[in-house]
Amino acid sequence: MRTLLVLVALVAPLAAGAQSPPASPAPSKVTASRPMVLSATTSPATPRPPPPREASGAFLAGVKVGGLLPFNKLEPAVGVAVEVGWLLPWHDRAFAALLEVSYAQPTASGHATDPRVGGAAYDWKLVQRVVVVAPTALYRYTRLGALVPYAGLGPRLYLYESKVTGTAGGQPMAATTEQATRLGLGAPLGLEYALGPGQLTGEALFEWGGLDTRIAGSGTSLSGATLRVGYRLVF
Amino acid sequence: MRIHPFAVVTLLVVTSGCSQRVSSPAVTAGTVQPDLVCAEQLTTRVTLHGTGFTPMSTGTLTTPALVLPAISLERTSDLAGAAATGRVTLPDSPTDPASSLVHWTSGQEMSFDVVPALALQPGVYDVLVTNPDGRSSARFAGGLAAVPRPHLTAADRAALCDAQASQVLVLTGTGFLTVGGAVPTVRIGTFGNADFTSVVATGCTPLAHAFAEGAVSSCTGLIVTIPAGLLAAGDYPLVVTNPPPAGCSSSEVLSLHVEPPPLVTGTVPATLCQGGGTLAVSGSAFLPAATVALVSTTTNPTLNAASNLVNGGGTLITSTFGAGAVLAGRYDVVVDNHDGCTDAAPHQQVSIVTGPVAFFADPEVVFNGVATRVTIYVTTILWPATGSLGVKLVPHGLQAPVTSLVGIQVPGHPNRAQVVVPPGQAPGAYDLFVDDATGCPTVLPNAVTVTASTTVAVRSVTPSFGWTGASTGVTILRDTAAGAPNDHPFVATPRLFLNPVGATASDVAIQVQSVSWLNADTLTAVVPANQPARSYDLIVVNPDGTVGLLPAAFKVQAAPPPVITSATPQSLLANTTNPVVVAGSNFDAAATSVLTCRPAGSNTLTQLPVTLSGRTCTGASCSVTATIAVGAINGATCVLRLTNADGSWFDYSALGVTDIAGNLSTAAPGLNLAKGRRALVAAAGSATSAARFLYAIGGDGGVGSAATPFGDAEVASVDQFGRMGAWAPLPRSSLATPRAFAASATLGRYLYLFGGTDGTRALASGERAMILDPAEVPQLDVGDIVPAATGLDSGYWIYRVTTRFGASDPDNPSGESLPSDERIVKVPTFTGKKIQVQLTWTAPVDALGVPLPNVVGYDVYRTPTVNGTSGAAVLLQPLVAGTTYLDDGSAIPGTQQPLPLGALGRWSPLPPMGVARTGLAGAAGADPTTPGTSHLYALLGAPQATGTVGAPLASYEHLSVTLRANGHQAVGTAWTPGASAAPAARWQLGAWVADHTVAASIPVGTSYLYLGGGLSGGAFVQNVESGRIGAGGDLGPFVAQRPFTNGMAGYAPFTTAGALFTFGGEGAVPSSNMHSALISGAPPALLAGAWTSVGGVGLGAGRYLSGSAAQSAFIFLVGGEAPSGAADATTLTMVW
Repeated sequence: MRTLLVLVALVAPLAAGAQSPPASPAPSKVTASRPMVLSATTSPATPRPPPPREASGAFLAGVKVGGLLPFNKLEPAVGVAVEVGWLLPWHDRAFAALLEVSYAQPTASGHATDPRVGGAAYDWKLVQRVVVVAPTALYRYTRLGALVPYAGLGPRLYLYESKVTGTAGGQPMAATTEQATRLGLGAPLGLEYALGPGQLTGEALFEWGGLDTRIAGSGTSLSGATLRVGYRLVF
Repeated sequence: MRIHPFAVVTLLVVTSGCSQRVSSPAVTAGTVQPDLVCAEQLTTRVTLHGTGFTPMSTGTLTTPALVLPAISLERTSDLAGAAATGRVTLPDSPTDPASSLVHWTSGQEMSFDVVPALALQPGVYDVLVTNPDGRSSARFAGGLAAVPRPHLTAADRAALCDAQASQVLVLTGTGFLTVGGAVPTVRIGTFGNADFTSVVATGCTPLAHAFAEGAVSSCTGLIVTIPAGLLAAGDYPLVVTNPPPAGCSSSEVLSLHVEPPPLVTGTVPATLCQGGGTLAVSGSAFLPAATVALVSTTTNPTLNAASNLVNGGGTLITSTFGAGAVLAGRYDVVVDNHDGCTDAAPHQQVSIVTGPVAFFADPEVVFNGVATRVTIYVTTILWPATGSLGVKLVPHGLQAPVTSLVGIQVPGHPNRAQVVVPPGQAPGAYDLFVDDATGCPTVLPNAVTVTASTTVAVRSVTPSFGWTGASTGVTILRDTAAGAPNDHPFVATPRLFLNPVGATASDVAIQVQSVSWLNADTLTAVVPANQPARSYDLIVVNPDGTVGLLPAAFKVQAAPPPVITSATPQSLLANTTNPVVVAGSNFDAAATSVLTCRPAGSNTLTQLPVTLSGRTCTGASCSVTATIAVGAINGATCVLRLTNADGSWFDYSALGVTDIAGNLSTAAPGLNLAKGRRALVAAAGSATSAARFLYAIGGDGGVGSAATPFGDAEVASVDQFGRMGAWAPLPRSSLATPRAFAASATLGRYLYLFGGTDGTRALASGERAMILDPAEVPQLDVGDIVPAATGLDSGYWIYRVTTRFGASDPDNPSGESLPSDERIVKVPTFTGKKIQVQLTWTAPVDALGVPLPNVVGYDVYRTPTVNGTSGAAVLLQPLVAGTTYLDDGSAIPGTQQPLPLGALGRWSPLPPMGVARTGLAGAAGADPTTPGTSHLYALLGAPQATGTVGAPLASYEHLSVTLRANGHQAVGTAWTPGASAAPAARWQLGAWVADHTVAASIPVGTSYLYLGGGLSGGAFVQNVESGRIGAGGDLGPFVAQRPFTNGMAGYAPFTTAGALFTFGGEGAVPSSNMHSALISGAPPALLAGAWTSVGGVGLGAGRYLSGSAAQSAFIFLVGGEAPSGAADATTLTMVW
């Protein structure tokens, strides 16, 4: 969690920086639009077409909820996510940069034999908590009007906490926890639909993140598909 | 270089991707059970109780495996409690759980197995439990002790027989544990502790640890009591198993053999001689160590065989018995296998028939390098007509080889036989078989040990010669510088033998008598007289069998050795040639001489050549002029040795060396008296030519104690170079009348005291005492040693005998002589009896061989306990009337010891003087016309009554003394007043007697007596007069000589080298001045300049009323009055 806070603190200035106008091209754009503003002032009765959408970027934020379908022994789990981002002004805001933070808590359990413990066998239960920080580059196909398909790709920072308990011979094993941080990759594939002040999203996220902990096992990963829906606002 | 912020973020993200951390619950330690394990042989499960023991499931998404908390053992101390180190982690792997030693039961309980493979070192361990996160751990401090298995190293007996009685088996080893009172289990075959009478652990040391099981000790022994009849004959393995929880077992292969009892079926012969013999005992089951004993059918003591020889099949024992069985008694023959069983009753029997009994062989240790005469003591011998006995030496316990010897009778002792053990006899212990005419032999087992081990290095025998006509006292020194293996010391008490150089097999070594062990390096002994004149090797045979050999160590001369009786002048001058006239006896024509000197303050001896010339002899009496070469050093003391051509020599001691002017050397401090004495008598004398002594007699404790003078005396030895020994009280020799301010004179070995004061009045009485002569003592011998019901224990006993004289004896009234030489008696072991020692001695004789008169008995001294040390004999029986004494062990030893060398006899009264005198002068001089007569002089002095000294006297008186040929002296019946009085009365004066030995100007046969100055009332009388000793002792008219130049009184007079000396007394107070006067060429006149002060002598704080005596070229100034008026205890010495 401390790692997560550090990352958020580091990413925030980047996001703030992304809101500043680009240094070089901005003067020419501003210069070009200013006569149109003066013209509107001088001719208020004449209907005007809406200003070109690509004229500026926009900030976006959204929430998502869905189900995680791990490709390993972890059981499916519900996951939530929040995202913030910047719609780049070019090409009708077809490109966006997002930062998503998600949380899920898949579990696993099992039974094994071991002559060293009472009953020569034991049951175990794993609760695998995961927070993912995922900066994502997103492409949006904006020419379909209210329906905007998109696809993205980006690295993912997985913050794990594994908590394992068990029983043997009727005696409980106290919990042992393990925290780990790993890198991964995610590829969201979704569809926006303009609804209300924002867009309703439906998304399938394909992700892969190394797990490789003592509790989970060597070489394990958190790969899976997440189906989720959300709502995204653009400001 | 500018770093882009994005690069920093990327780096942090990638780096943080490596982090990983496991957290387990905290662990707490509780108990360990058991807390004691055996690290070997066993698998012991140890259970831990605590909290937070938490396994961790791993590989849950791949291959699940359970990681248990890790357990390790950390060694903190050994079993004795000393700090130790070491760490063992118990094997545990989830991938190989079958070989894991760790077990998890719950969060509150775990366990682990201690197995031999862990190879735990014995000691105390902390147990550490660590959860899988590696950080949460707990320590069970001192939780576990590991001990080794018991090691059974030995049983005290490899075999036993329990058929007849319970048996005790003692097992020894290490690591036998007692745990909470439980002892190890001993297994003998299938039998265990429950089958035994008891099992007791011994040699236990508690382990330094608190155990839940109770106190735990590690022991080194187990005593197992096996009840009778438990074990049948056979072999049984022995195993020891410790109590749980450390129940390891010994793994040594040790077995116990259980034997059947011996069985005796016959004994040959059916009789045994009183003196011993051989029995053949037949039967079965005789062990090699079996012994045979004759057990009386009545109450007589049991007689054990001296040796037993068992045949290979265990069916025949050949036993040799020594003496000890009771005549006509019947004895059971009992075979003892010493395994717990003897042959069962009824026993075979033998009866005892009469015969001689040999009980002692002397000496018991024989060196096989020489032929040694051995005396065999037998109770009775029926001598065959041949006059000799058949004697056999057989190695102890064997039947062969046999060395046949011929025993001959010891003259005067019909029950003793002597044999000669030939040289070359094989070393070892021997039994002695003696056959006399009775036909009944006697056996003395282990009678003689023959040795060949020469490991004692002997350095010297001094003197290295003697002569056939007299016994010779010798001192034997060990070579202490000898290295191993020749560094064996003298062991109390050795036998000494003189074996002729180049001896043949028929030459028999001479046994040296009266051997006295002084210490590990020094012996004294006496070579008996009448030995063949030749050279001898000295052999020292220690009781432990070690031997020393000094080739050609001693020579017996056919002629008597030289003796020097006088040397004139008595002192030498430094740095010049000194002619000295030497008188004595037995100087041969080829005699040579050398002078050995010890410079003052040095122990380095130097030698000067001496040329002898002008030898003249009349009979044995001789004189010769010894011219001593230049080189004598002022202040040195010298010994003149005269050596005859046959190598015998005599040391004359001592000649002092003065400077060329004849001045005395600077005074040096001597040793202090035991107590201060003033106005005492100092005298010097000799017990033998080598044993010289200084005496301090009477006196008082100083001005404040003048009323109570002393009656005791002190003695100090003086060696041939004048070195003093410590002063010691003179035992049993107090004056009849304590006195101070007495006069004295020394004639031969007699000290004369007369006059003086008893503290309140002047005395007319006189006393004399004789320096006891070590030659005038009984000659002690052992007449017999007799077995009896009562007597002495076996071992060494040391005897001495002294002579007691009657009250009328003029030399030693009611006194005691010096003791005889020590006689060391080896009392043998005689089974069932003790030994009585019959001592015999001869009456003491004088130098002429005439028995001493007035002998009323003898005192017998003996060491109070067996194996006492030399010199420790105490009075055993006083006043034995005859010359024999049977020591039957009944007398109770006292504490009185014999008188030491240098002791005086009891003081004998002299005829009273005509006038009581105190502060008088005393002197003695030879009668000019009657050889063998001398005169004592009591000169002037003062009367004293009720403590007040009266007007001094001018008179004198003299007493004749007859010097007898035997060295004794007889005094006249009364003092004779001098015909003339001195011109001036005085007291605290001194007197000198000078003759030809003092001043060459005085004719031979003439003696002058000089009177010095003194006190008269409060004034000094400085007169000096002389008189000439006339026939009968009168001094004639006194002639005035050159007077003192100062007022002097209470000085010490001395004369030598033609001079008269005074020491101290100037002003009648302690003075350090010395004065001298030279006798002129016209004696008795003194040279001009007489009585001038002599500087450089240095009398320290000064002397007044001190005693003076000359011994071994030294003048000794003894005691006196200190400046405080108290008595002085110091001694000063000067070479003269």
